[in-house]
Amino acid sequence: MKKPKQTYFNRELSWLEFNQRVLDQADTDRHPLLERVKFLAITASNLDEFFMVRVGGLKLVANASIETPDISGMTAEQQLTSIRERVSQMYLAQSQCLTKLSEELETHGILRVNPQDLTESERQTLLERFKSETVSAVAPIAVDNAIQLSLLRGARLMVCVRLKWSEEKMLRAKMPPGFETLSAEAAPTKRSNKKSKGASSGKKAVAGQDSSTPEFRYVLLALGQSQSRFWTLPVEQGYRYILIEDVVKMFLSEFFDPSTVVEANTLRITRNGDVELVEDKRSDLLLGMEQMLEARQSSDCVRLELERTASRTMRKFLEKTIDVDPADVYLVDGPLELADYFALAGINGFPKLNDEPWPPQEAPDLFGKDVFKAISKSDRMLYHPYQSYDPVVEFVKAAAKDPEVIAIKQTLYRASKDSEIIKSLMTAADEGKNVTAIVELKARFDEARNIYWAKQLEQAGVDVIYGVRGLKTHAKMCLVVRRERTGIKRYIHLATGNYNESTARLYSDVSLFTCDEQIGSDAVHFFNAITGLSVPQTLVKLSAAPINLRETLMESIRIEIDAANSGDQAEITAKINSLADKGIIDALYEASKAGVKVRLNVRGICCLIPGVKGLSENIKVISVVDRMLEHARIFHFRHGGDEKLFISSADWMGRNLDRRVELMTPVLDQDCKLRLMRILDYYFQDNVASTELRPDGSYAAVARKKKKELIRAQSHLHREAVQIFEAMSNRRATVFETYKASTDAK
Amino acid sequence: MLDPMPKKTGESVLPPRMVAVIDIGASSLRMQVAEIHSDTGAIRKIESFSQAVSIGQDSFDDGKINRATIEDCVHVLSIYRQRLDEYRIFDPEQIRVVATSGVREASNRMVFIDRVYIATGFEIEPFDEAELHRVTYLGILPFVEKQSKYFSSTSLVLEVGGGTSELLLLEQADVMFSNTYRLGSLRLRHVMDQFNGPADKALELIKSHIEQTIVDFQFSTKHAKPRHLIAMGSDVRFAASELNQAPVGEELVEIKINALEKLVNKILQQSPDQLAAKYHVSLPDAKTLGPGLLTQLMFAKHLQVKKLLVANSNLRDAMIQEMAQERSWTDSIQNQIVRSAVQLGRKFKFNEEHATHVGRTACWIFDEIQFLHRLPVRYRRILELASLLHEIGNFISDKSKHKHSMYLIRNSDIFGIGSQYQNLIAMVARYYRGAPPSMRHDGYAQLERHDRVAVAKLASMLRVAKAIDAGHHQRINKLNCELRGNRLELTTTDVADLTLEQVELRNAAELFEELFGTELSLETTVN
Repeated sequence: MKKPKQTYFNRELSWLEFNQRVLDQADTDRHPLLERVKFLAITASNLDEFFMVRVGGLKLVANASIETPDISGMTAEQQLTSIRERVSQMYLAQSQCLTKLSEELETHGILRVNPQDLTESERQTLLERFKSETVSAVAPIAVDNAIQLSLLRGARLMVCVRLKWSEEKMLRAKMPPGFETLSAEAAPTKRSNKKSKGASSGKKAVAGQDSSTPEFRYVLLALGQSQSRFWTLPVEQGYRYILIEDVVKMFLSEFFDPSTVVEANTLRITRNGDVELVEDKRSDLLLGMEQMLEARQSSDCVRLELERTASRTMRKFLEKTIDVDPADVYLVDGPLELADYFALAGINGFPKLNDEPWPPQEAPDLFGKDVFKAISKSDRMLYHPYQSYDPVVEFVKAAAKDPEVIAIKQTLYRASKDSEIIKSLMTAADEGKNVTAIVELKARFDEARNIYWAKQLEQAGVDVIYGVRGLKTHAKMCLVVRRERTGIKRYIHLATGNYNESTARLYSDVSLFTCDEQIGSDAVHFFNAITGLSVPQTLVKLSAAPINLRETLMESIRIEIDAANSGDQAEITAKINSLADKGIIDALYEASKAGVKVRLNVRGICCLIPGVKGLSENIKVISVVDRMLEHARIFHFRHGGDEKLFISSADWMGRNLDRRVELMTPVLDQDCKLRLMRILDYYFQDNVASTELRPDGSYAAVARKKKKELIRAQSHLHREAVQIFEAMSNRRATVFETYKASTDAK
Repeated sequence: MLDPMPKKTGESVLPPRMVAVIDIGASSLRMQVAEIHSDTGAIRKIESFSQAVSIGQDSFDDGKINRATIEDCVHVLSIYRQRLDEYRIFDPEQIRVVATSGVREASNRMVFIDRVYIATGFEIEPFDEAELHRVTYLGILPFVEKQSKYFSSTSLVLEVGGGTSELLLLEQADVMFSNTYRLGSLRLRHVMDQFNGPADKALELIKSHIEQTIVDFQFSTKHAKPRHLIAMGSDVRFAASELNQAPVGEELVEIKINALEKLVNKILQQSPDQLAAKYHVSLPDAKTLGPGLLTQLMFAKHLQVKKLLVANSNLRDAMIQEMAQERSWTDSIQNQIVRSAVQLGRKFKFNEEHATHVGRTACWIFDEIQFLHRLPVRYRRILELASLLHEIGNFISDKSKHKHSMYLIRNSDIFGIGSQYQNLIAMVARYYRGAPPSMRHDGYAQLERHDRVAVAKLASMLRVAKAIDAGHHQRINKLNCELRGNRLELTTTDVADLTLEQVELRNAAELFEELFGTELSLETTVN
């Protein structure tokens, strides 16, 4: 991966290495078997998004013949070539991993059944179910020799059937209602247009066939998303299943004369998801986003996954009709769409094959009886998912019902499906409070849900702002304005993660509750700025992107560099998801050269090359991929002993620092600071789930000294949360509540 | 930085009073919401807003505010109204809305004011230059107390706004000179934009405008050479935070002239669009940055100071301070105003001893009969100034001298006094003698009812005070006041023979007795 004198890693290849680290989790017996299946599914899901967004974007750049290299010196075309090479290896690794997992699952009674192994009774049962549930849902599409690109939706498993051409037999075929023949005669494909300029028509001979008398016809059977992928078969012990594509292939005779079927293979198309709304002066962003979502369904194909068993004839036909570059066709051994294996990983009845439960720990005394009184006493901090997210929900609920609260201002980026927080905002509006919600409609792949929530909130009387023109609002903040006896007081929840109760059970994130006067004032001004009420004003404690977050970070790094240059101790520790910003990386290199000890815990992309003499020998980069998704952004600067701790919604990437609305919050409370420093340290002590980035771009397990105890940061964090819970519970138990004589007894 | 949360001093008697000030400037509409703690008088800023508008651009270019701009302002002010509703700030006494040169210079300013009132309910106060000086001085006062070293000799306060520049020359913190020049950052930007020629020539052109103002200032102040230059305004606050990498706090912040010059040169080389993108400021603010800072720089260079002292004070903060004083002036401000009035009196050769004595006596009467007149305390200030200046009309002629006093006061500059107050002072002075106030009198008839009543009451007290110093010898310094039945008795222990004063009072008290329904007598306890 590394080239001579390379100063930065390529971002895309670095991301693929991250996905490899996730895949490695599926391949290690450190995790229970079904959890490994889940990791495999995650890699597939990740890869889908990577193709939709990153590859899609790179293709747009490459097609525009833009040859500007990225910070690693690679052009878009070169990156695409490297990606294809690396992804091909990954497909192979995924297939091998699935084979291995399937074998191991079999030993525990979880068995995939092949059609030939079915009993006749099972076959009949399946046929009945197929007829009742599937036949009407698969929507066969007879494909002519070309197809209008927009009619095949992406990210959907399909079976392509090649049939011998016989008009008589086709007419006698048992085609279900909805059968349709598609022809692209009137709509030639983009690729054919581009490559064979002047062609008379899109209707051309495919794979050497004569267009007037084709030898084969193709039919696509799109498996509906409502259909279960895993069909359960009867078994006394364990779990037996058959995959839906096997069932469909088995019962093709329900659609076609069996004598005409030449072959049937599964395939999957990935479309460019890098289709974003061009934000013009339109006032109706909501409508624009809905149209954009439609447009995304018919964007260019960036990847075709095809079962390796497919013939060359079928592959060529598909390449042509789907209009996909042959280099973007991936032949896959075994099942496609491994993301569906989340469902298999979630089957009940195999507790030994799952992780031991780590229930989020309650924080009994966090707020006591009065949320606002508690926060007034001191800042409160939680580390999810080890600590429950309930207090965050409780905070918003309390605000909604409190008669002294006059306003609630909330950012929403990716809310959960059944969000209690959003319901509380609606309650608050109903109670006559002034509620403002910034719902980011442009949150990729959550647009539809956010549109839904935006409409619901508006109907409830909430003042909904659809984000900021040209920027995504990624900051996480809830501001409660309360009228108290001593005057207006603001209570703020600031976080590194989304207001999403579901993901808060899996993602590691920090929640901070404070009523610091200056943070409250900054928060109000920040909200006024992003809601268009005011031009941005000077923020004193909070830092916001794209205003001053980058400057604050650079200044903090600069202070450490100056300290090191003066011979003082200087340290930077950061926990982030991605590091890809050239400016920050260069500053860190400078820090390393000055002698600053830099420790980076970067879960995913890292374009910084650590451990290079004269450049970065004082920088250590680790990555922790484990049971919970590392998501918290925590930064620590030694600052001459006056430790500065920050939490942030922003990664150290150009998009976060320049093209998103983000926040960075100082943590001021001494107890909270110490806890955050402890949390940061746990990860660097991890010798189980942590890997260290090497100068060549590979990641290696952290060296473990003999007899040294195994330290797993996440396990440690869970235990700490339990201890906090127990300590709080015990403290509560020492408050004696006495029984008093009732007034009736007097 | 924020004001700290007021500390608890036992149980607070009343919850804090919430107030808001809206400042309709040349390039922006700004609002400050604050709490005033009634027990301690402490002010706590709650929330501030700023929205860019192009009032000044319209006004300075076309002479009037365009309809689209008016509607933009109405839109912004409607949003501000909603925020005030959120804080439950409804009472007009809690809200002050002032407009500066952008509105003042527009030919359709009344249309603007009416449209804003109809759409938002906000009543825009006329706010003229003299009031601006008073408020600016009020904004400087905290620094006078905290950093007195900068005010021990001569210092110049310079605030460059969008339409005008305001200058206060201070001598040991006393105002020696104040003036407003039609030199504003937005006006200068307009000159640059309108100039059809190379950029360096446009720059030369605005430099010549600034130089001309410096020459005018030199002439007016007889070539004063202040040792310190205290800079105010959003442009220079931006420069200070940019150069010092920290927002301007509660103390004067020093910026070196060399550093400022480099920044100004850098800024002047970039387009407003580039500045807006680079410094995250609004486009209207970006437009004024260069000209505003250049003005400050050229003044600094002219004064040969090595550093600029930047004050984080603005119109809104100072007005909130005034609101905390129940719209009365602080003693420091009143002292500056009285100084200015005395200077005016001297210009017209007034009898300073007599005028001062009458003023003192009038204020004493005001305080003693508060239960009778029930006027807010701010009217005491008016009475004091009217008393000081009541006889300056003598300078013109002995005939109808009270009327001469009236128009001299109306048409002179008194530091810190706006035209509305100035008119009231003039009216009170006009009635120190002669016919009582009448609806047939020009000026009096145009007053609002409550002001007419106040003028009459104040004039009656002035007449009594003047009668008490009828001999112009300031013989009576100690007085006692007592209401006995329907008779208000003034007694003194200073002199035995009060014949002259009693004769004068017989005529002078007529208005007083009619207004308050009491008889008035002056007696002595000296045998």
